[in-house]
Amino acid sequence: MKTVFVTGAGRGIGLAAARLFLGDGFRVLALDRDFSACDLPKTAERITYDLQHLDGIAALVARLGEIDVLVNNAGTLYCHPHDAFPTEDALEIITVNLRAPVALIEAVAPQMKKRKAGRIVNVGSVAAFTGHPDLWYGATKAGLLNITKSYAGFLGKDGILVNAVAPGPTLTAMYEQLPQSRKDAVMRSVYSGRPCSPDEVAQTIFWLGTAAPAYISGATLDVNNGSYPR
Amino acid sequence: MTGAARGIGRASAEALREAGCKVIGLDREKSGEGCDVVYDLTDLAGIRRLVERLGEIDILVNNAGVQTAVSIDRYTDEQRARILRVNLEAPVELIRALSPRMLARRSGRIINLASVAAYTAHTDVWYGVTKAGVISFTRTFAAQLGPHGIQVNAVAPGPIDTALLKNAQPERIEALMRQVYTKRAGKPEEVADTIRWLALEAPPIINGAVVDITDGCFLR
Repeated sequence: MKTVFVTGAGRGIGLAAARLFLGDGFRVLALDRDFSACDLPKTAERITYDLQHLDGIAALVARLGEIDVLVNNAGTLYCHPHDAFPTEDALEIITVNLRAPVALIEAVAPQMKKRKAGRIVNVGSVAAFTGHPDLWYGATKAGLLNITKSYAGFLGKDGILVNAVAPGPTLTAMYEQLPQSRKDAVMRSVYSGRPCSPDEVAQTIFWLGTAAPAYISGATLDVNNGSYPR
Repeated sequence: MTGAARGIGRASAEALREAGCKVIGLDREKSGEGCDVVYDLTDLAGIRRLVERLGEIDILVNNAGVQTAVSIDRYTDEQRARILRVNLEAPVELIRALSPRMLARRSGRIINLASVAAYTAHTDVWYGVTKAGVISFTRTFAAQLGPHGIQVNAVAPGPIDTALLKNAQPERIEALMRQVYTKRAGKPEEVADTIRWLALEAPPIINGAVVDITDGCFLR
């Protein structure tokens, strides 16, 4: 049985992804800081953890056993004005969206290298390609896509695939946080007149985490339906 | 499936056939089992009539492509005309000819073969230009047909073990192989798997996308 580790699995895209892997027979390790909105079956192992605690990540991963697929999905967004962004919140975004994924990759990489196999999927955003109302959200998502390429290079010769998805605005709790102007812009640009569904992003993550050919690595797959294309 | 007799087209035709599709393979010369329709895509004027007699088509894979592999100072007018026709004009003509029936059914999937050649300098100038053009028309048709339930996406392979790669200029091959993580060329089957996913499984929200199949080569 293969194991997938999904962060931010308590809701939205992460929850949908965890459900897909569960349905495919994976052992699912679901991490979130809050599972109150989570309806994952008991067969998924819930790990309540706040990824701001970077120092504990290595020890956490060490007790989880073999991990075949890591989905770095957890992310934070605030949408404060750029000229009044509390430092504390900026640091939280940078920690959760950038530093925690790096810590997680570093923690799982040695065992993946040993097995000469492993897949890592990072959840970016179209925010990486354009400006974003939340300065630090956009900046960290752009950073995460860059990290995807760096680690694809670091780990590629050991048979580890590192890819990303870049969803357009997706109907999750985070979408509700967006300013109306951003939502209007989304609806003007998408071809199909609707935002992404979490399940559609999850299907893409699932493909990259399971069946996508080995020659796809370092890539970012756009799941955007025409909104904010690069 | 255009260019179905060999390489990526042949592997993709097989992958789709295995997945239960009835595949109509087009190629310019009859070779093996892959070719159901012999047609030279430089004959743009005949494309509409050709498509009319093929019946309902749910999935179009614009795979046929040529590379001249000569430097710009040696490019002949004929070579330029040919690559522009096969790589750019013919796929657009095929989409124009097929899309009315897809629009009528409000469904259809189109997959175009781009290349990492689209993103950077290329030793075959018109190859790079045409592949960049493929990405452009992929997005244009995604925008035009997307609101009506049609998905138009592209794949951008890096070095794939095909006749086209063997025929490429040596300095081009070297530039590609220097970058790939695993020091190997990709297999046609790997591109075929991606095409099959885009053709049959990819969620509807993936539209206007280009999937890079490069193992680290010319990452954008």
